[in-house]
Amino acid sequence: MKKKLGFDAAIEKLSRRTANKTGRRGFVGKLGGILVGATLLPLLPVDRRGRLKEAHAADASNLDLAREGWVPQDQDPQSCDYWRHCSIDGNVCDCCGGTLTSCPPGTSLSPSSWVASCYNPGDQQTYLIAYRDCCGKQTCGQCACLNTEGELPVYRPEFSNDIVWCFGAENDDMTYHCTISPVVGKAS
Amino acid sequence: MTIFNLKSKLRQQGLVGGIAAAALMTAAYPALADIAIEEMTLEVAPASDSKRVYVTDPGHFQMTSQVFTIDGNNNKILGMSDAGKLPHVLVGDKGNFMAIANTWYDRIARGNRDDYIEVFDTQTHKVTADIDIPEGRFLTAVFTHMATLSTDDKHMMFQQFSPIPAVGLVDLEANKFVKMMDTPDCYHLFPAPEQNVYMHCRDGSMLKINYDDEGNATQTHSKVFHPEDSYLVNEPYYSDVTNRLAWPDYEGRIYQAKLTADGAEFMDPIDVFTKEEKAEKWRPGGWQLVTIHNDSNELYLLADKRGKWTHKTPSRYVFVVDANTGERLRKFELKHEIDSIAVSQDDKPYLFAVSANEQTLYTFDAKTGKKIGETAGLGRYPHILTLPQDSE
Repeated sequence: MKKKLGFDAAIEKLSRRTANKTGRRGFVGKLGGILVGATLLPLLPVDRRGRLKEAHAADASNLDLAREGWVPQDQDPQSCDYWRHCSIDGNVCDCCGGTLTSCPPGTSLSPSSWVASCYNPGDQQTYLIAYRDCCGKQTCGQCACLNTEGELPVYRPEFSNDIVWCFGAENDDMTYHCTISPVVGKAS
Repeated sequence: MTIFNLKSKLRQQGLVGGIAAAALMTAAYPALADIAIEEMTLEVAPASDSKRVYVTDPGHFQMTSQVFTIDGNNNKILGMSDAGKLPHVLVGDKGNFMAIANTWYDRIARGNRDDYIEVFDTQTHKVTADIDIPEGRFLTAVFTHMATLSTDDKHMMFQQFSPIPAVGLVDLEANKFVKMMDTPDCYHLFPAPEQNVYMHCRDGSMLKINYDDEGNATQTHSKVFHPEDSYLVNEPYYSDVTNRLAWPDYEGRIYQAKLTADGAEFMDPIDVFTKEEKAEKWRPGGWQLVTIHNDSNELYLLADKRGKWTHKTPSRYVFVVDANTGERLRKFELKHEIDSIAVSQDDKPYLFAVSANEQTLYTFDAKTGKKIGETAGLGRYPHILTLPQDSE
């Protein structure tokens, strides 16, 4: 018998091992499951608000809109143009396992904040928002927004959204995860 | 680990071993076919020149960052350096070294914090010094002037915001941290000759700090040079060669000063936009949105038609004016959404422009505005440009 080269032997070994561990029925069953699942998936009720936001973010014309200035809405708190987010720079905690007023599990709520006056088109009132960062984990990455309505330079830090506002967070973790947008009063 | 898991793992390892052997054999076949074995080496980047560009990608406040070294002459990536959270990248000694101020946590985003300075040789990209500093770097979206080298490259300084405002002094000759120097409510660091550094204060004045090698400092305030409601952007242009500061406000008015050992000499502000352009809503916008070619005294401002309070949204146009008079020299369209610009300081200057959303560095002829090249795929959200100011 012709001696097999190492390459052939390795491939044969790999094939035999795969065949031993994979039944044809199992393979067909799994394939069927995938096909049926793929067919049914679009029919399931899923939240597509995120997709809408992604489409906007990826669309160059969105920057044209952003340059026109701030036009808030009061329907979708996970969208960057939600009225409370008028001066947010970072990730909306509502998209990261938190809410508009609570941090996601496992993070810590910083006691420090920056502030902005945001107009709510729903009741036509302007409110004071004290943005608070949730800290102690890597950046969430979801619903990244850069809004600068009334935002001031870093030499006016109380109105600056570029600072990692994790001062005083648990264990002094100066690491940014996401931002909540609680109302703390009426601005007008 | 259970016995079952152990067996399963051993089986997997056997499979991996088999695949590795197969790959090795595949790689070895050409050698058997009498092909010369190629020599394998470590690359060394060419010496820095005025068109060397460092593009920093801090992500969106991510724990790790990347600093890409790019030869702006041909848009070739020469290497990459690692950095921690929100790093400051400083280039000194005519581009021969790069210092990066880092923050790092031993449990990724929590645990013990470690701040340190790494110094790199810009050709080998190897670390030549590692200097521990107190855990006090002011962590913001990266503002390039919140850390600086001294004009003679002997010292490096970084800003602390909490628990008290201060500036950290690092001795780069002795490779050691010296002292935190207390400061009032002031921001940014602009080095001036004879061991002076300036900061901009909340009241609109400049603070001059004169320091000795032990970190003993004296401080002097200048006059207030801009009104309270003229908001200065976070990224001014400053040359540590000419010591000229050019600082746009949100509306396109440029405040300027020369920062010397004797004090700050303020110039009359210039307006980049005409009355008609202001009516058409032309305003500056982006991150590093102003740069000056020192020898020709040409100031470049990144701008677009935009509403109020959109000062960080990218722009598609550059206005070029005489930095002394504000006289319009050129205006060109970049045709990309640009966050930051920087001009090289040689006599055939290139304008480098980075788009964070496109993760691409674009290169333009600074005189004609013609696009020359591009480097794509620069990480996640690259938006910081660092060029040597004093290259030969």
